[in-house]
Amino acid sequence: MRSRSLSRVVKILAVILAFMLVSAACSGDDDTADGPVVLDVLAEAGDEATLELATAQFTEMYPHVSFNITLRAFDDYMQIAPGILSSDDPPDIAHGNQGYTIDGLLVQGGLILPLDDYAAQYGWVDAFGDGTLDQYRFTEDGTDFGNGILWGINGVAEFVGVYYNKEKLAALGGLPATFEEFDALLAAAKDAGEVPIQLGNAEGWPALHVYGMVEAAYRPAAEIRDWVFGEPGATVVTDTERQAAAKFEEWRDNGYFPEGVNGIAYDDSVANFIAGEGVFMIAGNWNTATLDEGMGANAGYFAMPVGPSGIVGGTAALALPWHITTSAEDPDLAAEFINLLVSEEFADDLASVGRVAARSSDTEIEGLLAEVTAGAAAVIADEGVTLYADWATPTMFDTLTSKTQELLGGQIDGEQFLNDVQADWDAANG
Amino acid sequence: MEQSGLGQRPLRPPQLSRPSRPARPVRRGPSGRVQPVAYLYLLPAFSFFAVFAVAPLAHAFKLSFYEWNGITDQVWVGLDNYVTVFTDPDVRAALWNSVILIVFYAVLPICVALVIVGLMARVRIRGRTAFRAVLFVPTILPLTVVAVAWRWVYAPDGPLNFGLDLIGLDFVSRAWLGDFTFALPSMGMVGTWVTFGLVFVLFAAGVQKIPSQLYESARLDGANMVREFFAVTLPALRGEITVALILTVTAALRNFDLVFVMTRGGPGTNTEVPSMFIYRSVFQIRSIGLGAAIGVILMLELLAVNLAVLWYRRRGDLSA
Repeated sequence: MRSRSLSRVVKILAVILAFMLVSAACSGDDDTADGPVVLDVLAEAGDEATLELATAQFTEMYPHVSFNITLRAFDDYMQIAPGILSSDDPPDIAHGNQGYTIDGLLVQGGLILPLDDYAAQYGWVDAFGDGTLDQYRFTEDGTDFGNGILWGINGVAEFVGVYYNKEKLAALGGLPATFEEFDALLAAAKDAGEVPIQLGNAEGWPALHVYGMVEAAYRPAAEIRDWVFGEPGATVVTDTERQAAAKFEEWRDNGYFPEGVNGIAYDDSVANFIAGEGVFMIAGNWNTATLDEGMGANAGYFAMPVGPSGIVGGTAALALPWHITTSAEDPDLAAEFINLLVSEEFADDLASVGRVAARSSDTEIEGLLAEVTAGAAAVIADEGVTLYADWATPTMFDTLTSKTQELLGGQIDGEQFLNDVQADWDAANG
Repeated sequence: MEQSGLGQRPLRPPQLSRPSRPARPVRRGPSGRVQPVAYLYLLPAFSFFAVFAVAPLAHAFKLSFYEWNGITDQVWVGLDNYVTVFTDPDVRAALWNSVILIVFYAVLPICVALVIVGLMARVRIRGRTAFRAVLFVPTILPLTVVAVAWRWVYAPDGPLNFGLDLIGLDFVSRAWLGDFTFALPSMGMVGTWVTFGLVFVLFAAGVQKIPSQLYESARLDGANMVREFFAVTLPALRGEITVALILTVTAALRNFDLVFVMTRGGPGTNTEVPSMFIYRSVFQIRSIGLGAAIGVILMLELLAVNLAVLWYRRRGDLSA
């Protein structure tokens, strides 16, 4: 029993150590002769298909280059990546994650290279629009998020938008052009005996995406971004944010979400939506393939109209950044590969594996993915990207997940919700 | 030296509840002193224990006095991490939750198992072996499998609610794991389900070694079922109860799998347990020192509870 009562930290560290040993053993024989070059890539598993396409194209252009790709599922990846990058045998290219807990750590540890020179060389900043890449910026000491040096980049958009059931919406009205119209559709859906918004919040973060939409409807996107980036004086305890929280409470009290929402798992809520429960589902565009498969032509998507003017916006960001590690043998070659991943030409390929390119793509995409891609482009054009609120502080993910559950469960009111969230922010930025 | 030989055993009622204390474990040489070579035999097991248990433990203890994100230099912060742990109301709530879980993991299954075992002493149950095997199954299932299965059982449209609706109790049915009142008890019941089999099999085996003469004489003396239970069964099972307590209390306090898979500590912070904080501190907040500090405290809590159980048992032994 003694060994079982050991702290979990130690066990987990032992697992990391074991993994590092294994990965070191596996990649030890990469550096062969001078001619052939092997690029070691450590990536989150969602990019498997993307990497297959990209590496094939790159090897065609540079026949002497081959790839050694290691993939890990998201949760695993975030746990082990910093350890692998700080080990004796790090990869050349690796995913990070926006915010303090991964990217900030990698910068602080001096584990990744600044990309500003490459960004200038390849014209990334112009291509993605001013400010879009700020989510990949940190000051040199790794403490100020959203400012300073560019450390990573990705060309894939991960946007939260509104999926809808076309048959059900047709019975209620047309696509909403404003947030008020959307709100009115929810009321109409409720009156018609439908579940207005499908949601499963057992994990805590799914409701956050819904709240982010309401927030975006009441506050300018730039203000929300400033808060995420920890700009001095930023706060969510404002009158406009109170209106957003009050609107969210109203949705809760009106029964716009499924009963027992805090006990429904996210995946189950997606399945419920496919099965015809719910007119709308506010969720990330990574659900597109699942919904396309399950609902076919009956699934639709639009970017949330935020406010009366008809502009669109909401919780959105680019995907996990690609980093070049400081121990990369040929950083220029690694940058060349990353440029292929984020290039306009590759945008079509991204669509072919179901991913949404942040740079506009000219090819004809069909079905739901076309609507999702158009929605993402509209949000970028309207500068409505509000980023993910949980990046704001290292503890914000936990704070927000538990607080949204308490807000949805009626344990706290909107005012308390905002105060609690701001308390976390103040503790980290004060 | 009463245990020097069976023949010399004094005439005393046989000790029924527990095996007689074993002879001293260390082999002695002619002079009565421990032969140094004896320690050599301990070496393989001890070195394994030292490398995989003592060393990590010592390392975690050391880390608990540092601020460290796993990458940059470790910074000595003294007792800061411990201060953080004890001043954080969420951690205190998590420690309290783990105490509540002891009721579900240890107290409840032990009480229920004792009642059933007491009944079994009187009532012959057919197919007892099959019964026991089935009850033991939850104990050998991986906890993650158990958690996934029970998450489904507790789901808003899961079998539990379906059954409740079917018998007209639809006002009771709810999203059990998303309910601020019922999430913790619901998870606790899963713990009861898991540990009950182990406890029951332990007790059932213990009862079998009670000589039937004791029951006969109790019955001749006119003891009813309840009296018989307290006079014969319960005292005889003290050893098994101690083992069961240690195993189940440990399972309750270090509970991670069930919480991680079923609720991740939610809704809100209702089912938070210390091990979830360790996981979060290390992997999400990347404050490894803080995680180590919670780990050390959790270990001390475990140690204290188990020592208390053992101490109570020993005291009982001496007074018996």
